[in-house]
Amino acid sequence: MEDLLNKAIDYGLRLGAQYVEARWQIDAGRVVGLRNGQFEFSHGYKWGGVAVRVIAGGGLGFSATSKLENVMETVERAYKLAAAGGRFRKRPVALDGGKPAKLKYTIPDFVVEPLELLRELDSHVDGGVTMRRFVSSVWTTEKFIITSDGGYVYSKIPRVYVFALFIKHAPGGSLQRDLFAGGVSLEALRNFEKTVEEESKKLSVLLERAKPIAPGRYDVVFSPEMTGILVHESVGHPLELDRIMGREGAEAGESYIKPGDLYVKIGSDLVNIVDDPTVFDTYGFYLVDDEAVAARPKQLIKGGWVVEHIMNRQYAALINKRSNGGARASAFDREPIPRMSNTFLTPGDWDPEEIVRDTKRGVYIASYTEWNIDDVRYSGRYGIFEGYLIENGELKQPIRGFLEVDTPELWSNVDAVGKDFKLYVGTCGKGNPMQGVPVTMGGPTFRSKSLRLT
Amino acid sequence: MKLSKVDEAAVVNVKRINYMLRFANDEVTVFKNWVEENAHIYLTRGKRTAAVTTSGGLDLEMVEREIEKLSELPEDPLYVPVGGPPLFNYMEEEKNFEKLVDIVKTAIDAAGARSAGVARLVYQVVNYEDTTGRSGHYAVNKMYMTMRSFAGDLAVTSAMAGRDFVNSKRIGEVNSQLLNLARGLPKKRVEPRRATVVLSPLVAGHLMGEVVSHWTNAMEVISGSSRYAVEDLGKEVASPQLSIVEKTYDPASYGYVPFDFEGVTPRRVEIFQRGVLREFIHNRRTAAKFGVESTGHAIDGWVRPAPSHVEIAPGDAPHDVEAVMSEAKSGYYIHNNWYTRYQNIKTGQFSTVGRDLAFEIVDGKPAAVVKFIRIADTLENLLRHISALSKAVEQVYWWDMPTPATAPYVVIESVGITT
Repeated sequence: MEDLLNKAIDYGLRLGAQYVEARWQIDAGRVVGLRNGQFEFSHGYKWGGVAVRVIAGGGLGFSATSKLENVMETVERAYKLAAAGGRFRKRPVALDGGKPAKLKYTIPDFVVEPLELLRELDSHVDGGVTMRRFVSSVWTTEKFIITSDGGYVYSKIPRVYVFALFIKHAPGGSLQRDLFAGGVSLEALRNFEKTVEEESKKLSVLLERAKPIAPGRYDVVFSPEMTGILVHESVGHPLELDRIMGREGAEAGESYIKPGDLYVKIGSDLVNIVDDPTVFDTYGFYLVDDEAVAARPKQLIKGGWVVEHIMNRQYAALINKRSNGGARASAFDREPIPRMSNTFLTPGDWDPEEIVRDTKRGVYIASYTEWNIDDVRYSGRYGIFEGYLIENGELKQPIRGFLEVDTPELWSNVDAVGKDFKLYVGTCGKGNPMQGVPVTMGGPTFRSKSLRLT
Repeated sequence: MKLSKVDEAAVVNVKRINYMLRFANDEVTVFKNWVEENAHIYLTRGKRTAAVTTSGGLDLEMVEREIEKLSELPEDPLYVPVGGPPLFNYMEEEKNFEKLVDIVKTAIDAAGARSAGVARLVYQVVNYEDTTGRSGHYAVNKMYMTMRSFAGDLAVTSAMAGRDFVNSKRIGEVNSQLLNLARGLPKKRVEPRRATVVLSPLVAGHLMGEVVSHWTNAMEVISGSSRYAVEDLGKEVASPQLSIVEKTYDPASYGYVPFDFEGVTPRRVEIFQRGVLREFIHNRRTAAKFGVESTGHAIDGWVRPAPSHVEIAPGDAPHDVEAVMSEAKSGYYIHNNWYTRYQNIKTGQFSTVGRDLAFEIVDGKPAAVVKFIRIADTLENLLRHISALSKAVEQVYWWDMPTPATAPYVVIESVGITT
């Protein structure tokens, strides 16, 4: 494979390209579904091929093929597309001047049979659940990336992923809970059967006991699960530099951070947020990105200020920086673009229980259901799956409702950050064609004052 | 393939040649091409079933491994023998991707505002073969274009889809018209309330696509995650104004395919007929469970049927954004939406975020631009409160739509709105 990729690089340069990147990627594994305890499907897969990215004539071209015998033709096409697009640019595409990585790394493989895994998990679902569905995928991603400016990276990473959906449907109402687990080792599944058991039991309890919250403003204490979705949606996405610069404008959207004002204050002094692909054993783990740039922790928010963005080489060059290794491609036929990996609020110094005890009138939100946010990531809405009133420092009546919050308000009103820490698994979507990449999100328990609940 | 190890097999080779020109800030950001060549194989032994997908050609080692796994699997409760009606062949010539650059230029020039977007051309070649001796092949082209134009903090998206190159000048002109309509209007936010809502074809197509995909899909009915059960067929479950047809069968539809993964030609499916639930979409597996014939909707695989193109039948309201707002008299116009999420897929309690222009309508006219609007309601409430549809339809598809659609403007009363 190395020879083929090198030939592709040489050929692209001979055609006149300024930069050529060749990436071979294979994703191989099995995905299995279980529906209400019954077998639904078993699907083995092995898809992959070679992608070539070329800068030529001022433009960026991308071409991919699943047939190795067509790689040279693919180089020609990428070159031709780059030149055609370059004629329709105001300024030529350029990359940062960073030195790409040279590294080979392999994460130890593991064996788990997805159907057996799902049957075991299914046996832990509470009997009161009306509909239950599980999907599990176990696969390995193998990549070889070579770039014309010296990048040389081989990696092999196994992953496991489980999705569970439970619905309790009764004459008095209906509730749904979605759960996710995943990682690069079986450690990812540790105690997940307990989570399945506990969370599926809550459907009946909450359906019976949770009351609509009286709309108003409350001091809100967020669990690490809530911290994760809030960080991911309102900080991680808007700090992707390609989004800020408008590249995703028609689809995933732009950002409340504007190109002329990149380093703004969005939170209180207690807010520190990091994106770190190098956290081992996480679903979002990697050591080198898909442009062959070494990964490192990215300090996105420090003391409430935006201090760094999630970058690839092209957009780093636009602001005279070096890429911080944020470019990811979900499959062989997708281009690498700035993405999150493991994104979290860093812990503070409060005991999480102490935050609740310190709250006179508020709400503790343990988990969420439906959620969404506008495309500049300013106005968010999060449905409460499990939440409780807090009265004089004690958890009281379970409630249901929605948090409706603007990003600056959410993070500026933070006055307590816990010293606990937990990451939650997700699949992050962005790009056209859509690229779902494995990520985690989380952090500690924290409190934000006077937020609107409806 | 060693067929002695399995009882039946079907192979569907799918080759998709994709070209995509993406642009932002009025310049090309990337011009892409990717060629997917996947062999999808369906295997059975007794009533055990499994599927395998390999790219770049048939990977026999991988297939052998999956065959070995078959014996470890339980019987498939929805197993049906491989088979079906004879297939036919249908071939189109591949269209010239080089036209995409001019198409995009034309749209940007017509918008006259900072624009971002995408033009995508797909040439899909499919070969089907199974162990009963059935075989067939087809090749079709499809294209869509989306463009979002910005003026300060105002934005508007238009999208067109079809089986040939789209009229991109029209996309730019519509964006320009809507931005002009918004200029100078005050901006405001909404408080949670119920109101009349006018949905653009983009939003109407998106939401009705959600209904068809999640609720009138026989697999979801079997799973118990659909709002509907078999007993609901023939009942009035929506406004009498609403008729929806699944149009994958129509060669003019963006989502057209001559036959599905089971080699069955999709047929016209009357989902809702004047508010009455008539049919679900099926593959052969779900159809057998219901005692009916497949509707030909094994679109992307063997497990779950899926819609490939829905059409909302037109009504008699004017097909013009200003005229339809005039008819609605008061409420909100929502031009585009994204991030549709469910609190509960069975009850259909959901919210979706309005993006681009949303107008507050007062006395039949746009009175303000609304920032940060959401529809937060149930799908059922939307279905039951449709009061008018425009008299023409548009074929639309973009990145966040679940299913390509042909849709009119749709007016719905008493819709839950929030910020």
